Order: sequence, then C-alpha cells, then structure tokens
Amino acid sequence: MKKLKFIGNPLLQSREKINMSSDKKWLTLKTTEDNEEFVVEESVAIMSNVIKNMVEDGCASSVIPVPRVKGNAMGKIIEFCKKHTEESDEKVLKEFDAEFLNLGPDALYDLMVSANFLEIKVLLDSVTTKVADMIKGKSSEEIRNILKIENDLSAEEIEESRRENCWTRQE
Amino acid sequence: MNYWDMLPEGCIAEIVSHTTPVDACRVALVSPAVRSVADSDPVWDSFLPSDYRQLISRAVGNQPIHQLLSASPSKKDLYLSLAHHPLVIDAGDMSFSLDKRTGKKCFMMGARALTIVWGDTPRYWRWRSDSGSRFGKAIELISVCWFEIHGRISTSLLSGDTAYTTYLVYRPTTTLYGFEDLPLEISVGITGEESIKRNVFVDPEGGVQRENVTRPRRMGLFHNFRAAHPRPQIASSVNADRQNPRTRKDGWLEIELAEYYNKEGENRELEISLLEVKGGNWKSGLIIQGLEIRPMGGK
Repeated sequence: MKKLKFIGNPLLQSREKINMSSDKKWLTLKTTEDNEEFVVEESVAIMSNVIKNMVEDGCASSVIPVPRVKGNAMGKIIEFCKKHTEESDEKVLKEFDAEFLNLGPDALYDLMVSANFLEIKVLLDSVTTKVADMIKGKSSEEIRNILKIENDLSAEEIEESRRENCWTRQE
Repeated sequence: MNYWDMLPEGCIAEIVSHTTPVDACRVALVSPAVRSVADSDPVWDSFLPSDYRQLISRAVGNQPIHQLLSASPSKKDLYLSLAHHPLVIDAGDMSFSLDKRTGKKCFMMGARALTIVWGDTPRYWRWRSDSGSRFGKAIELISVCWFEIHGRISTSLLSGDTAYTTYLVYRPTTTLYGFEDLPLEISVGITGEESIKRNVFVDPEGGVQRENVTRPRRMGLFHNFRAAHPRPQIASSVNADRQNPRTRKDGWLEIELAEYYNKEGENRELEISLLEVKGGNWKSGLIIQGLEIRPMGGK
C-alpha cells in the first residue's frame, strides 16, 4: 500500500472529503527518487515556478512527478510554502522561518538545492540569508568546517590568496 | 566529500553576496571551486554602490581608476581601487571612496567646497598648493578672530541606513595658537533642523605645551590687545572630554566631529559647522584639507 501524505487538515482522512471542498484545487506531487506522494493545494504548489509553469501549460495530470528532490525535503518544502501562503503577517513569518531553518548544513543544503531546482524564490532567499549569516565573520577554516568543505588548495595558492586578502585578517 | 562547493554557481554567488566584502575574501580561501565564484563579478557588483558608475563618471583628470578602466577590470578590481585610491570628483572639490570592509561610500569635501568666512581674504586665510592634499591644494589659516566653516553635502550621495562620522582633516603649522583652551563648537545635522552639537579641541596639548612660551606679539595696526591681555579661560565651563586628534595614513591629522545616521532613500542637505566666535582671540596656524564623512568604524 503506497504511503499517501496529506498536507493540510489532519482530520481529513480520505480523498472524498478533500474533493467535497470544491473551491480548492488539489495536486499530487510525487518525488520520483523515492516514490513519496504529497497531496497539496494548488495555491501552495504553485509557489514553485516550475510546478506553476506545468499547471499553466496544462501538463499537470493527476500526479506531477518531481525528480531530484527527496521525500523528506519535499515534505519540509511543502510545510514552508503552506505557511507562506496562509500567513501574511511579516513578523510571524520571520519567526517561522527562523525556527524552520534551524537545521544542520546537510538539511540546509538539500533545501537549497531543491528550492533552486523547483524555483521557489521565497524559500531560496530565506536559505541563502541563513547560510550567509552562518558564515559571516568567520575565518576560512571555520567556514570550511561549518560547510564541511575539504581544503584542496595547494600551499602556493593558499599563500597567494593570503597575500591578496591580507586586509581581511582578523586581529 | 565536498558538496557545498558543488552547488550551482548562482547559489554560491547569492550566498556570498549576502555577506560582506571581508567575508567574500575569506570564502575565496575555502576551496578553488568556491574561490572563482567568490571573486566573480556578480558577487562584487553586489558590494559596489548602485551609483558607482555615475560617481566614476564625475572623476577629474588622470587618476588610477582611468588606467584601470582601460584594462577591462573585474568588479573586484574596481572595488579595491575605489577603496584604496580616493577618487577626486566634481572639478577637484570632492573625493569619493569606499570603506573597504563594508563597501559603504565615503566622501571628503575639499576646502574649496566649504564655506569659510573670511576665506577669500588672504590676510586671514590663504590658499596654497599642497601635494600632500588629495585635491592638490589646501587652505591655511593665517589669522582670524572669527572662525567659521560650513560644509554641506546631499544625503542622497551617502549610503543608506548607515551610521556616519564626520572629521576635520587638517595639519597644524609651527605657528598654531589660539586654539589651546578654546574648543571649536561643532554642529552636524540636516540644514534647518536639530543637530548634534559637540565641542572639540584641535590643539588639546597646546595649553600644557605652551605654558612657558611667550606668545608672539603683534604691533601696529593689527596689535591685538586680547593677545597681550588674555581673557579668563573658558575651558572650565566647557565639556572637558578632550578627544585627541589622530594621525591618518596620509600623514594629516583628523579630529572627530559628530555623527549622523543616514536613512535610506532620503535626499536632504547635511550641514557640518565649525565655529569659534565667542573667545574673541586671534587664532592661527591650521592647514585644512577638508571635511571627511565616512561610516562609523571605518578608517
């Protein structure tokens, strides 16, 4: 039995109940990497420019395949988009984003790649700002550690860069 | 395994653009793949002020920027040039540069751009060529009783949402006197509105150093009775916080005047005033390059 995820009112148990609220359009998104399905309001799904284009071009049939995005990332993305469609208070959204993005670099990376691929500008901007804040004021070594990047610069390249950028050295 | 540096370049560029020029240089040291993005034009274009092209077009004569421009510079090169070599603009009366760490705009109003009371009378103030001044000239205070200088700049030139500090950039001559116990009354604010007022001493050590030195006496038409019979010192009633002038990298002195917070999107006139008109004594011996306005914390 395929796992069907309903993002919305947790009291709704079946498809029929959803279809009764006919003023809202619903889409099913399926992550092709791990075959997870998500039933989402169209107004939430079209925060992704990619999905929006598919819907407008009429290519969206009953199930929209979403490659490259894993199920757990998709779930989080939908949660984000839903909040941003429902809530208009800037302050509330800011607090939500701060809490939402309180993730490790791995999860942030997945979010960023997915948001970029799906063209969800609001989410991409939020993750970008979050990562920028994580690296601001840090030394190169610390940035490498935070983002888990290997240092594969040669000794000469490091020395040359140090000389060019010596005015940024922390006292 | 690296993965952050496998992000699409656009994503890395966006992240770095949201940091600061200092951070971008540190990020460039992280890995070769990240380096090329951290040094790229989209990133450094975001650090340059939006009106940098317009400001460069106002540059006079032949300056380092012009040679650079003829060599297809990167945006990073342009940024560093504007940070290291203040650009003289507007017929040689003003200079523009970038605060290296933040990319915020800095300006110096040369002496020619200032309103100096009695400045056109050589007996009181004299213009001189000065290779040490970025404007090639400076004005020397020969002798005045009434010391009054105003500098005005449009706030639309300044970087938005930035806290600025203002400075007098000057050098004393060997005949510096009259300032030792009297402060300059500083006022910084929007013309016609409430301003920040301070007292600064351009010669804070002078009162101590010159205790035992006889003041030169002037005879004849310009004999000043006040110099011969000095008034009681006003110093005691004045703000005793004597901030010392600082020596700048270009060898001039600067004394901090007052601060101004520039809000984004405003177009007002900021006025900086320096007055000493109450002491009534003769003052002499300053060479003034100009008034500088730069972001707080910048050098």
